[in-house]
Amino acid sequence: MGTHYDCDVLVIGSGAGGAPTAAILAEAGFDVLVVEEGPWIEQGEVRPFSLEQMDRQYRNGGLTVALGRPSIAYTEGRCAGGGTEVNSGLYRRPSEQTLDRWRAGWGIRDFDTEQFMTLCDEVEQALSVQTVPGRHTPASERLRAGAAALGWDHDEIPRWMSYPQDGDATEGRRESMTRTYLPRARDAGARIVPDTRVDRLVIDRGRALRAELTGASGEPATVDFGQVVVCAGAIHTPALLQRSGLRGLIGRRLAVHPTVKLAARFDDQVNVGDDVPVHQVKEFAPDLSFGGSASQPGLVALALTDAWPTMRDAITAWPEIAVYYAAITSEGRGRVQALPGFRDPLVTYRLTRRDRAVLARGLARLTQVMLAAGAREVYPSFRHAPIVRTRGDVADLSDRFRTEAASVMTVHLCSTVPMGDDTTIAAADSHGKVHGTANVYVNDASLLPDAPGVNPQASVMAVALRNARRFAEAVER
Amino acid sequence: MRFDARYHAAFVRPALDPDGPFGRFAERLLLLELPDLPADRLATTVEFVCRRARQVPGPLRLGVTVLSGSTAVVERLVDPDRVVAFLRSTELPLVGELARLVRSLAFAFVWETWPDSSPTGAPGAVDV
Repeated sequence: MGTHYDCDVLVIGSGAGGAPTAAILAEAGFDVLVVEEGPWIEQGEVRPFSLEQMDRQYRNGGLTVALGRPSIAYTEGRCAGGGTEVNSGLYRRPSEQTLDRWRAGWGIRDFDTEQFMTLCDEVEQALSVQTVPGRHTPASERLRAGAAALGWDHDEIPRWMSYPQDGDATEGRRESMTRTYLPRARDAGARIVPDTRVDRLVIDRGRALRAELTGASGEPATVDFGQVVVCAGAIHTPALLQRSGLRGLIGRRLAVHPTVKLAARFDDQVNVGDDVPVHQVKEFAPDLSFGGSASQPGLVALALTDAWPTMRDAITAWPEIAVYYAAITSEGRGRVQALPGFRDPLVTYRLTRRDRAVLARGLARLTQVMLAAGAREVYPSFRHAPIVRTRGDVADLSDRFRTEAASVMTVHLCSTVPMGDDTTIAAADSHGKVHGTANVYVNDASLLPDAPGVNPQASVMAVALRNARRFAEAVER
Repeated sequence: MRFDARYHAAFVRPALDPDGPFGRFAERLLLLELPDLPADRLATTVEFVCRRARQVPGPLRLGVTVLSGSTAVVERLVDPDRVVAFLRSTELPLVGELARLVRSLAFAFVWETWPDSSPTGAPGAVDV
């Protein structure tokens, strides 16, 4: 038989969408059960950006791919707190233009910009969002200096971190969901069940009645509930809904920020293994932005892999090397399709011709920033890439670049259950209830109508608070 | 038992074990890429690569299993070193991804675990 739970509201997933949802609903008096597929791991238990972290806190060990030409590697958190536990913690509000576009394009009701920004204030307070009070990492300083030398617009992105007074970037403590909204939810009476996967919702004529679960050791369990809020992320939320028999527009409009990478070698040590740069170059935003990645020696080797015969000698200089990225706002779209008999969905993504051109331009411009920052050599990540040493080499880089030969990746996934009252393009209503259902809600990155052009988790958390409050007002306990 | 659990037990696990077709391919490829990697490090790296390959999402795991199984069949007809040399350099869609997958996993593992490694895998090239 297995374990059986009953609750008012089942929240599936505990990341940037699920944790605030659970906290708000539990504080409003609902009996909330949070089911999380991954383990609960305290901050500091695992070294950030390490292979061990990939093993323990990422889905499929971090080896997830959207198939296409080229395929796009992506990563998702799979642990209590979701992506907020493992990502860079970089926080940026969506622009007013983005909110206007979402409101008008998808027919989102009650989506006032001023109210939305008030929700952002609330998130920032809860997560101690702030800039680094002390020194930045050398790799971050290089990015800033390069942009400044070119006269390009750049700034420091705040993060959900707390620091000691005047603390340096490497002294921050991540104020992720396991330290903020999940304890709040628990204090308000929510039960949190980690290491347990929701396989399927049993839905009868649009009403979900029960969830079928599997524990870490394969033991079955069930949950009966009044309402269910799915917050499993932009890949696994649509996959779960599809496995439960819901189709329509679900999973059809995956949006991401594709990125290409390079490694840059400087004359002195810049490599800080367990932190990332906090500066971004916004001169070409929202189409294109540049930032820094984690740069442990293994990740430097990974960045050199595509053109290893040309670049392999650089690996012994890894203390002087840092990895950077160029991210684009893509016009392409992807799909998430649950396949009968498989645990994991098939994910595909198609870049447009314009996306490919912007990626190429982005890599060339990022290379310019690195040279302006004093890089002695730049190693772009694509097959047959040349080593760039001077501005004259950048033309050769552009000539040789082909998107199909590049290691394209993303960590920002959204829009697979877009919200809005326009049922021709939106899969859920203006507050996240899946169209055609009586009690199935979504409240995570899947709801964002398209990729916001900035780190999306501010948008995700603000939308989650908005929808959870609305739910608490509208649904009887 | 769901389909992917059944096929995992019957085909994937044997195919993606260190002594299965995928593991043998990974070992041959790494002998070419990192010829000075000590034998114990090579074995640990191949084990890591195989373990990670077994973690990839089901539909992709099926692809890796089929590709490495096909490689094993071709190796019965053609010199295995020539097969590895071809797969190491080919840019054919999907087929070329097999070597890319092994290389990416192995290099990330080698330099995270032994950051003193030389470009050919020899220990002691960097003071750490």
